[in-house]
Amino acid sequence: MSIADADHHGRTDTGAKADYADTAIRLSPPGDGLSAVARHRALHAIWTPGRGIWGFLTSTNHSQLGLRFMVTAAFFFAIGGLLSMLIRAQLATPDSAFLSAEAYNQVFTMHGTIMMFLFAIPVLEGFGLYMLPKMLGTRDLAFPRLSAFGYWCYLFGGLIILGAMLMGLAPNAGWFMYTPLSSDVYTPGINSDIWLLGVTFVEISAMTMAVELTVSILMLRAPGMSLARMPIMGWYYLVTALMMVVGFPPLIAGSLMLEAERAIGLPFFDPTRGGDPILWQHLFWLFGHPEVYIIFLPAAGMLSMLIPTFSGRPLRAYNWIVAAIVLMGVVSFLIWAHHMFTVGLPQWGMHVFSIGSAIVAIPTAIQIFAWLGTMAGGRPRRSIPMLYVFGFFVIFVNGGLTGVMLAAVPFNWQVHDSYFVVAHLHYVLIGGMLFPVLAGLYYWLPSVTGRLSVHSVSVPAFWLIFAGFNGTFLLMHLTGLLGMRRRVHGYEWEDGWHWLNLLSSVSGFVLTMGFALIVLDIVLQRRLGPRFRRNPWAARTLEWAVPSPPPSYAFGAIPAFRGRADRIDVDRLAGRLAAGEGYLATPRNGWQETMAVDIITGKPDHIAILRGNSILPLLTGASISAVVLGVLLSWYWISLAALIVTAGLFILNAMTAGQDRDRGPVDAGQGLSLPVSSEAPYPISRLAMRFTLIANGTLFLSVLFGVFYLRFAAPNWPPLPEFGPRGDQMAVIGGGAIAAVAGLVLMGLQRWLNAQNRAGGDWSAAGLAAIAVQIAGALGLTWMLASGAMPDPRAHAFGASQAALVFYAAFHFGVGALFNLAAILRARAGRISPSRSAELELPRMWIDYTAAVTLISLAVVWWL
Amino acid sequence: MVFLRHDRPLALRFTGRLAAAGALVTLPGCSVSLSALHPAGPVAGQILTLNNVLIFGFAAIWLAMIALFLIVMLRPGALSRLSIRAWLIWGGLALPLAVMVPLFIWTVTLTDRLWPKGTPDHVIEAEAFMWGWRFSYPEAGGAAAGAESRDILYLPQGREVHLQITSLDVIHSVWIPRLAGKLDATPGHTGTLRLQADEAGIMEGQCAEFCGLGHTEMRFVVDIRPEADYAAAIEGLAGGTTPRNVSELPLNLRAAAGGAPAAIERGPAPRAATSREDNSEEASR
Repeated sequence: MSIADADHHGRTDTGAKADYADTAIRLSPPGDGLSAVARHRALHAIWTPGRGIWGFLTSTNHSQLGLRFMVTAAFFFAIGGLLSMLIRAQLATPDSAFLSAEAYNQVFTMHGTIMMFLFAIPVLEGFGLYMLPKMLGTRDLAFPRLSAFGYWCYLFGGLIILGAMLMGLAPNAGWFMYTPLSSDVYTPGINSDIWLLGVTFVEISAMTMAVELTVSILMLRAPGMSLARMPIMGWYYLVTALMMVVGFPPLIAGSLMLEAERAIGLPFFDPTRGGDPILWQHLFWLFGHPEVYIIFLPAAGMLSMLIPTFSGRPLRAYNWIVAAIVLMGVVSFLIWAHHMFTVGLPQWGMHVFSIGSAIVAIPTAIQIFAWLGTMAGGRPRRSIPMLYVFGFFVIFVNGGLTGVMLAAVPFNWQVHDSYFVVAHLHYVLIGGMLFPVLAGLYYWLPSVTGRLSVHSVSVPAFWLIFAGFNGTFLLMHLTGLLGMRRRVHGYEWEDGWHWLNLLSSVSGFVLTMGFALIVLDIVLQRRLGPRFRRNPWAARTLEWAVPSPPPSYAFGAIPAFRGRADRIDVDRLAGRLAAGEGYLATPRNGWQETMAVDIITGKPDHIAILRGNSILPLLTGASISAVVLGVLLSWYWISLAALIVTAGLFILNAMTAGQDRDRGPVDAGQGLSLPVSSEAPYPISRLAMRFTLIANGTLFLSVLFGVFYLRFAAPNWPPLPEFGPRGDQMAVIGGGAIAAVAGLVLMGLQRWLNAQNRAGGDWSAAGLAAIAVQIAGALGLTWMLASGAMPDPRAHAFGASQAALVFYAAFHFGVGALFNLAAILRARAGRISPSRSAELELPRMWIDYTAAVTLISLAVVWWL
Repeated sequence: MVFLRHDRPLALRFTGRLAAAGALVTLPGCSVSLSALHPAGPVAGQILTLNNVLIFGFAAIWLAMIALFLIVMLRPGALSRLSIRAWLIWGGLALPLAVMVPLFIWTVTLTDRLWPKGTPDHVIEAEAFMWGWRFSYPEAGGAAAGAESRDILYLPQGREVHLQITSLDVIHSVWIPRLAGKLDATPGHTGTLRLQADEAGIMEGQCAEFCGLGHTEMRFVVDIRPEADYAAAIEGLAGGTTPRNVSELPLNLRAAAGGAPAAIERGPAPRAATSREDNSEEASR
């Protein structure tokens, strides 16, 4: 029995009464004299995005942004689906002249790229943004402006990629962009750059969401909601977000390295100059394999949330599921090379990756049987969501089984890069992600619109999708075994695959019809669906206590819990929260307030005052777009200017953060007094910086991995003497020494500065000195690079590796200087004081990181 | 592991029957020269055995899982007595382990058995480029002596051959489904693919890593000859008595070679440059 089961009092699982004890604590009325209507109006005035175009552009509201993410993702899904129809139209008959080879290559590359980067991740980000606050009992995620920034980066990056496609310049080297095909020599046009920069841009958005989700799940929950009492979706998204924090940087590192090779000629992947094409594969799949679990886990979370509702009992085996999720997250990082079994890796390596890939089936099976066990112990009801759960079982289990088959090396040798793999990946992605998402769509859409489905359309839509999908992809396993390769724009009559392909193509159209019916279904629901008062599914989780459609502030008052938050009497709780019986029920000072809690226990810690509507996220997203477009069009001065503007916008945003005076502890409701975030010892910003540095560190480790991989495994090492250090090494030694000393000095200086601030002393001189030392460090490293004494970075990967490491360290000194500049400006504006000092830990953390990477980089450069 | 020349291994006899069954899935008259379900050598044959066990075994598990879901959904009382722990341990742990432990012991040992090791009977060199194949035969003097063929691979019957594979430009991959799994041709690296054909005949191979505009048509013909004829055949390449590329194939061989010859001839011309330095120059022009 787990802690969360304590309120069962040891009763067996058939004791239904025990399961339905309401775990929400009965809290007192706020005593502020506000009626429910008046409270609603006051909260709404604070939390609502404005009206009209300006309101749209400045909104930071999580419900609105979450919907925006999901709708935009649906739009990209439609485009990706259209591209898949083009593929099937081309392959329906042999020797088809429908698309040229060049067009076809762009079509299938874009199909994969759009589906993976512009649909799958964003729709799940959007869902998390929309629903997690409501499930966790908070009013918004930790950084609403960052959410908005993430959306605009996603939109602009997606539009850049889409725009390229409309101009016939879409990436055309496959969605995983193997080198050397994707290098400048073999794809000289702008196509690959669009992918590299566009995807990196979108991934910045994903990274910001990942850090935000992690911090929010850990620190912004309802009081009493310990980690063990979170609804299971909290765990799914927590692990997913952590996987994103650690999983995306290898892709970003690889993309930046490939872009550097294409634009400047640094030969990381060119085997004739000390690079290695296989390094790209390692970096890509280090990201790529966790990516598919990042896509699967939130969808599995949806199943874990809705299956209990339709079974009429809470989720069983909560602890086992948490363990399975964590195990899956960890193991997924250890098995990437099962995408590379035909590359020629050493035999022992193949065995390790093969067995590891099999092991990951175990946590998957645990979740599946936990769901079956939950259903078996209850009374499962039929519904549209459960129809999609059935679809999931059929399709995803098939995909999981073919996945275990693919983990077997000899079998993999035959079917890798054939249509067998295409079938497998669609079974796991569509079965494991799309079907649960559609189940979730039918389950939660009523809470968004306030109306129920019109079933006469929903059921045929499901069967068309189910039959169409299986018709398209089931026999595709056979097509692959009969020898048809991936990514071919045609085949011959003699090959004997035409009946199979025709069947796949026709079924593809059936599948599309099903999706079209779903769109119709959503439209019909919004217009004609019967309204309901609350909780149409008799669910027991917190998001159903929020009115449908939800108000901008989600919760009239923050609830508290004494047991797991999936055994709630939703109707009673909703009424109490609207009446203000909870925490932070009384709006004041125009603040957007929500509760920040202890990470593990959920005990109230401080009041997080969030930052609302602003045009800055849009402007910052636009200026980063200008950086990207400048690089794409080789207008580097525009990029540089836009980079400076971006930095300025971040600093501008920082100027109004926090409070302009000391507030002391304030009333949080229920007789509790808590500090506000600006005076809290461990505010959300500190945790965010911690995870940002973890992501950053992963990026650095990826680059280090690349450097060592090339040193030990790439052809043409060691480099010839003429590719080594050139001439007098004075600049190299001197510049390096300056940087190393600067890093160490800064560590001490920043700590002294922070202590001064806490003691109320004057630290303005020290602050300026810190900036000066950071600039000195950056200049020292720049001197190393610019002196021409380092090995030529374009001639051999030896020089490129050294240049990359030195540049990375210099960049960090530069950014650190901006942090300190912002701190000084904020202090001048009165936003930092002895009790509002925790935020000075942020520059200190950055400086510590900078010093560490500088020393490591210099050591590696010297050792190389 | 050495296969007896005169006795086909048990696995291969069994899979011969299964392969015949597999022939039912393709329409008569259509070529199976690219089919992994119709092995023509011991490596592909053993892989097919694994394939069949996996497909039929896992199909059974798949159907059983669907049935389990339907029982739980439609007849919940039937299994309600099982504790959640039973579900998790039997389904989540015991079932996967019981299936995967023996399976992966088999596949790990099979991988080792199929690995190219030791001294083969013959060595052939394969160079992939955009978009075609150059095979050279060191036993007949290699490329320098003119013993090379384009888009046709000559193999001896019944002998173990190691194909040394590399690429001149981007990553390609050698895949002859009826003989073996595939191996990537990576520039800057040389890999070894173990090939062995049981019977003389014609089949096809293809590039199995996307390599740009000519990937679809980057196929090749595999011509397997009895041992005695083989030596003569590769000697004849220099002199022109053996077909050196697809356009020189006599009609009967061409017909037997399935879709490869037509595809090769339709495909884009190989890029003029066949080395990376030349390609850089061409790109910057």
